[in-house]
Amino acid sequence: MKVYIDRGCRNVEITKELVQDILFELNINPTTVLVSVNNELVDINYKVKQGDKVEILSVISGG
Amino acid sequence: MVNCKRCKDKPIYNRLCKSCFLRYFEKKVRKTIREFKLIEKNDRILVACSGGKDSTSILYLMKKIFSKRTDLVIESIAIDEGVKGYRDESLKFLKGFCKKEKIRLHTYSFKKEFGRNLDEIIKGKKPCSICGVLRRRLLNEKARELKATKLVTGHNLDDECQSILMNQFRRNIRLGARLGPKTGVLDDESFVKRIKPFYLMLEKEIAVYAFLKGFMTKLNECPYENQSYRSKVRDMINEFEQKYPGTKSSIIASFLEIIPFLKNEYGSKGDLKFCKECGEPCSQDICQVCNIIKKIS
Repeated sequence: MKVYIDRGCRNVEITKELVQDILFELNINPTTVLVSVNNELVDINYKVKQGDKVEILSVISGG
Repeated sequence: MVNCKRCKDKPIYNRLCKSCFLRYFEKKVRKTIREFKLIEKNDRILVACSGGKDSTSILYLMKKIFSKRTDLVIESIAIDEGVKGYRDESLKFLKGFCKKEKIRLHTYSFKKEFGRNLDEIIKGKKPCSICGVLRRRLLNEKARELKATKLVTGHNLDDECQSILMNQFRRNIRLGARLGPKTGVLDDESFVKRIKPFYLMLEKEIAVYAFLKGFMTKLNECPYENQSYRSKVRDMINEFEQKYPGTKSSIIASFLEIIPFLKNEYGSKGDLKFCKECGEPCSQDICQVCNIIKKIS
């Protein structure tokens, strides 16, 4: 399954289902991002399914 | 799946569902304003906005919280530093937001006020420190001109933690006296008091709020942001927070115990000088802004 990461505007392939595991797999610190599935926020215990639109949004903004 | 700890609905953040999170967030901001006495009767409030998630959220909330207070005036101010592909986009969003919410927006630019925009000024220099000095000057000067009694900023708990540690790392303890939920060491009419209603809110919590309210636009980040010393400190603190949850809140709680001593030690009016060139308040004979302008001209 693919997820979109807004920082760097890229799509990456993942093998895990649990949001917490996906972030770990991508080496992303959970305190620095929000995860949305089908345009709705989910917490780290959410399990994604095939066909879900998963986005990882950075919470850090400069300026 | 674990349910919301308050109502058993689907959780979105820290085991809270959407409606419980919104309630928690707004209640905590109200409490911060009350606890630190950030707003007083007849205040003329100017909210410093960039169009980003933090400042848009605080502008929206200030209006929401104080909508029934007829003694208060709430307006917003934005500074266009002139960073191509970044600030122009966020200001466009902010103008639309203020129009929709019927909030008066005052906009000023580096180009008009200092003769050049940030892209032209920095050339090989440290962009964030220059930008910060010039932006703070314009905000204070224009807030004073607009007769504001409070300047609200979207600074959050993460920002404050970074500033506290940066001051420690650089042995700038004196600067710590300028931090806190209500900033400014000196009570002088040349300074407009800056207040931070998001002082106890994590950056991530604000992002969740902004997302739920539709303020979390997919805007570009500042192209200069990752060159800053602050960004390195921020990454370090985030790593610590992940390993040891509660680290950020502990930094703030400790600092709140220390700040009365810092203000007492460095709060003397005797340190206040006025720049010999522009007349603005500063700590040296010539202010940082005049020094920057000299270097770039």
